[in-house]
Amino acid sequence: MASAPASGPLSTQVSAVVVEFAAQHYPDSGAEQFEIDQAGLAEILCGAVGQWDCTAEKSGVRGFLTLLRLDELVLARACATGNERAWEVFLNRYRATLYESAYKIAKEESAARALADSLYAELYGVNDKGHQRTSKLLYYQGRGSLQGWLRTVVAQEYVNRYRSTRRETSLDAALDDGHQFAAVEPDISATDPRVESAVTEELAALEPEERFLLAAYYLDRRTLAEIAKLQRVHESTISRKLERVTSSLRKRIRKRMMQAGMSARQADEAMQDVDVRDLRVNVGQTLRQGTPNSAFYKQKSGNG
Amino acid sequence: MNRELPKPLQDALARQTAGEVHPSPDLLTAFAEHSLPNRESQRVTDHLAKCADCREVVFLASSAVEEPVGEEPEWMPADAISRISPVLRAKLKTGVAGAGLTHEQSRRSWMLRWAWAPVVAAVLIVSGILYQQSSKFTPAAPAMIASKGVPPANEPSQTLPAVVPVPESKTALQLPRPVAKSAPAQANQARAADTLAAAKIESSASADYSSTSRAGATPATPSLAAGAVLGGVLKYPSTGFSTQNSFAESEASTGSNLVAKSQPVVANPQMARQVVSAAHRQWRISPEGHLEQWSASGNWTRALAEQPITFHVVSLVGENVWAGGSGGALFHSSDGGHNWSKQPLAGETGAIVAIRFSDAMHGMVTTETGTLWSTLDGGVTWTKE
Repeated sequence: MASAPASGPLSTQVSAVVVEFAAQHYPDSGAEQFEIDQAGLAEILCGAVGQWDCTAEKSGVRGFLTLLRLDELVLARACATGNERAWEVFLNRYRATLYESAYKIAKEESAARALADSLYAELYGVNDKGHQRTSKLLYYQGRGSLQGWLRTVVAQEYVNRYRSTRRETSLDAALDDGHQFAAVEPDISATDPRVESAVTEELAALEPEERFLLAAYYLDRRTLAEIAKLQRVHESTISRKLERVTSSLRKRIRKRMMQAGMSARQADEAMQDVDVRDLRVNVGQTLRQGTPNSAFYKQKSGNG
Repeated sequence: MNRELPKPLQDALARQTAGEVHPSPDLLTAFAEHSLPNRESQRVTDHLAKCADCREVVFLASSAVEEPVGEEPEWMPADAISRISPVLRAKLKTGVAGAGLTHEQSRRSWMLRWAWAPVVAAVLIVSGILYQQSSKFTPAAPAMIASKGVPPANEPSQTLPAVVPVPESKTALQLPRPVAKSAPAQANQARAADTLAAAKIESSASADYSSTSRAGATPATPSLAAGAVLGGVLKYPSTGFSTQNSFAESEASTGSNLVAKSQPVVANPQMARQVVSAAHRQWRISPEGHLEQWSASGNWTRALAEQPITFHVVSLVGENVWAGGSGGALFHSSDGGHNWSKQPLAGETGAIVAIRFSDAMHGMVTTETGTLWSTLDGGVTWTKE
């Protein structure tokens, strides 16, 4: 029988809470239809608690168990052990989700099918050697919905694949596509340590959510709509938050820089959107571009 | 909106490192579904702020969430279609494989196939109102005839009657001006018509749902009727511990108090939207931790604004609204949010993070410290477990 990922041992008190919870919720969990008895359910829950926090207090464990997606956790575990009825239910409920998610993420039919097929095999638990059956479903712990978990796993798989295939891109093909591989230029721009210190400290002082918003919007170039969808708020809320965070952050950084001894003008220059010192323009090369073949030179040489 | 940060800031943001340990897909899913307790959610957010890889996974997964079909996406949960209609999914599959249609095309064709449903619903509403109107106006006819047949002595016989006879069909079209009714009576009539309309929609929606079930579907339906939401809009009862069998059993045994009955899961999203809007049961916890209700005027109105509490969770059972928040504060309204009472959870100081009711009487509340409180009498008394 396949086993769940290793988790730490639980204290006797916590185990007792889990057993009591399992007994209380056994009828609702749907475990019986997959031939899982109460002890089996308690074992599944112990695994989930151990993965979460094996040093958890008794009271915290109750709250954790209450929020679990018990029926979906049971279904996932039953599938992982190869229960046919469970697989029937799983396929009815989630097969389409798996393929639809893959399609939406990969945005291309054949890639999506390949992605979903490989993941489906992993969920079923057949490894390359075909010996041991270790289903990926064992890693589902019931914290979120099974459907959402499948989407996340598809996304993760896609990101991994994209990275690996991106590394495999041939240089010839890239050159044929017109890609130019410029030599890495050494970073010659020296940042004032006072600027760096002010920025780092103020950034660290932000709330995690604020830093997440900044990173998603400014680094990842996510749209307001994408962020709003994830946060389940309106786009305008995200827009307002971003405005508020960026403006207050700028002010605080400026203030800190001035406290560190910079003049107002220096602080403003350091926080300008585009700092001319960061523009690495090779003036000589830019001026020389195209000049030998220009009409002026031709004319001049003709005259001469 | 300007997409540029000052370069030092942008660099510092990019330099943040999250370390080697990443949240599991399970945790990322729970984060995206807003089902993590605050403390854990903060931890995941902190990691996401630093880890571009995990952010990419979360946003990709979020982009794959089924877009609800309809004009107002927020009325339907993201996975409603796939949850309620395995028949639809089967058809989508065969459509894609057989006819070479894309998913979007299949969905569109499904919508076309169901396009008659809103029309039927509209006809039912109108016929209900017509029926109501005709029954209200019938007694007026003899009076009118009497006044016409025996005119008062001081009036000339050619004078038009006080009540102008109107054809029945015309009466229905002139709903806003019931001639011989006072204002309260009008209001009552409008309310009755609304109720009838809502009942009609609900019954037709229920019929749709049961027909879907009969067709061999195995929808994921709630066995616990009450839905609870952490920091999101409460649209549907949460799936809770659900199987089809348990739903059928609970429906049979607990009677009509179930939210699942009053807000049936329906195959047609348009109908679902109307059912929900008819019930006026939109509640949410705003990102700022305010309890808010969707008002008829089309915006979110804050409830219990005078309470210095950060709310975490709101739950519905029929007309009963339960809201919990910081400091062990639990509030209950039995009339859809008009009047509120604070619930006595003696000595409780932990924030309430989950509320689950199986019916109007039996429920359980969980605090952030894991303490469980239960009631068997609709909140009159609470027992710590």
